Order: sequence, then structure tokens, then C-alpha cells
Amino acid sequence: MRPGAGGFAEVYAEHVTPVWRYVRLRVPADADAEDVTSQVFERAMRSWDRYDGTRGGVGAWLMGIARHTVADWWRRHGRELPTDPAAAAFAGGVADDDPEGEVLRRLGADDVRRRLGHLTAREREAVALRFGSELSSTEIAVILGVTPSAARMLVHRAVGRLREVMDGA
Amino acid sequence: MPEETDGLDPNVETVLWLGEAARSAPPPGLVARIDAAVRRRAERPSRPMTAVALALAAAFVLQAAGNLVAGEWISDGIDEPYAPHAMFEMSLALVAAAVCAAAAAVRRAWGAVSVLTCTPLALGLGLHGVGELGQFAAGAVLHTAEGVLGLALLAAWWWQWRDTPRPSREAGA
Repeated sequence: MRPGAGGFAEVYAEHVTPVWRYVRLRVPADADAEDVTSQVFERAMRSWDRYDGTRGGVGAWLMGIARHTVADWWRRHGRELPTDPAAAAFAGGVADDDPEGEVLRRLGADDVRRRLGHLTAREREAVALRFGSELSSTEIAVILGVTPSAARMLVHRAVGRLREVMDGA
Repeated sequence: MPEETDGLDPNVETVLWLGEAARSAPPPGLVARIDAAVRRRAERPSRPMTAVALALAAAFVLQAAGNLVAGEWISDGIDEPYAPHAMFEMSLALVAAAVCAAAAAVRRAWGAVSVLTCTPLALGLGLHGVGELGQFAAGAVLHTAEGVLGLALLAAWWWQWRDTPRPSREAGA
């Protein structure tokens, strides 16, 4: 597809749902997810002229932008959100260096986000890409810079851990 | 905890729950917000079009200002009698042409109007400026620049038109 404003309108229509679902699993509240998703598409529109289709699919390109936008959101808001010093112990030591997980566990707007807070950052990312964006293991592997089998393993481990969290609830 | 599903692998159960929980539709407010941003973006002219349209508008304004503040010097340069009334009215017309040219830098859809009005004028001024070569250097340079920018405006508009999506015959039917 040739980069251009009209081309982007088609891309947006096709990808707004997977991007929204991914972002929604990565931030605590729907209002935050709306802001971040909107920023993802603003950034994508600005970069659309530079998009090179030979370097990968447009979905993966958008997910790359979404990951960076989510990371920026956490950098900006992570310190503002209240943290709980006892959270790491509560999480079984998972989130010593994972304030994002701790915030999701405590402030996540629904079950799925609160439970995702018990995963490591990498597992949470893999789950958001697999179940939010519905990407294949190969696509997740490209985005995370791992092999497809490692991506599959990451998702498998995350699902196992989620099951433990749900069983313990 | 998701509803228990007898006989189902607990991991499969978790996957099903996760798939269901993750599947949510973007809120209509968000879709409307992005729609509006995409539409605004689609209406924006290309960068070359913006640059050329603004440059041509600046050339017209420069000529208009020159007529107003240095009319006598220009008349001397081209060896014609100074006519302040005509100079003033020509300046007004040039300012109007400059606004027309600048419109192409505001909205993609206005590019065609700018080309229809400003390209013939700029080319006319450019050709007319040939007579000033060797006689009045400043006028020759300005008119040549206007002529070149008139052609560039047409080229930029054509390039932009190629990249502008249009509804297909099927969609329009």
C-alpha cells in the first residue's frame, strides 16, 4: 500500500480494535487506554510517510508504536500513581522491579488487568500481544526480539501463572 | 474466577477466559476522536504543496509590497511612466492572488482552486518578465521565480492528486 492519508484511513479502520485491545491490557483504566490508543494513531499518522512495507506488516509496525506509547505513558504516569511498599511481598516477589505490575494489581479497572499485574513485564506484554492484538507467535517473536518458540513459551508460562493466580483467588 | 468447565484442561480454561476478557470493542468516543484526527490529516496538503504554495504567495506579496513602496523605482527600472493608481490596484489584486495561493497550503481540496487561479497568473508574470531581462534585474528575477513557482504549484498539485484516495466507481454507485 502506498503511504498517503487515504491509505492510513484504511489502516486505521482495520487496526484500531487490536491496538485498543493491546493498550487496554497494558494500562490500568479504560480512560487511560483511550488516551494512549489515540496517541498511537496520532504518532502513526505522523510517521506514515516513512512506513516501509518491505520491513514488515503494518500491524506489527503499529504494535511497535503502541509498545513505545505505552512505555512513555508509564514513564509519565508511573511515578504519579500511588504505590504500595508491601506489594512485592504480596505478589510473591514477582514485582520487585515492576511498578507497572504493582499498579495493575491494585488499580486495574477489571479482573483481567488486576490478574495480569501478577505476571512479569515480559509475560504481560506477550499476553497482551497474543490475546489483545491476536498476533501469532511469529509476529510476537519479531516484536519482542525473540524466537517464535520463545514467544510461545512466554505465553504458555504466562497462562500457567494466570491459572495459579485464578486458582488462588 | 471464570466459570468452571468440567473436564477442560485448566490452561485451556484460562486461555478461553483470557480470550474473552481481552476481547472488547473500542469505545465509540475513541473511534470518533481518531476518525476526526484521520479526517483532519487527510485534508492536510502534502509538504511540497505547502512549501510551493507559501513560496508563491510570498512572491506575490513581495511584488505587491514593491509596487506600493518602490513604485517609482520600478517605473524607472522598466522605463515606464509612474502610475501610482494602477500600481496600488495591482497590489490589491496581487494580495488577493497571494491569499488564493496560500489556500493550497491550508487544505488539500483547495489546491485545485489555487492552481486554476495562480498558475496562469504566475506563468503570465513569468513570461512577461522575460522582457525585463537585461533591463531591470530585480523584476526579471522576481517574475522568473513566479513563473517557476507557478509550474511547481501545478506539479505539486498533480503529485498530491495522485496520492489522494478517491472513492471507487463501485463505492460511488
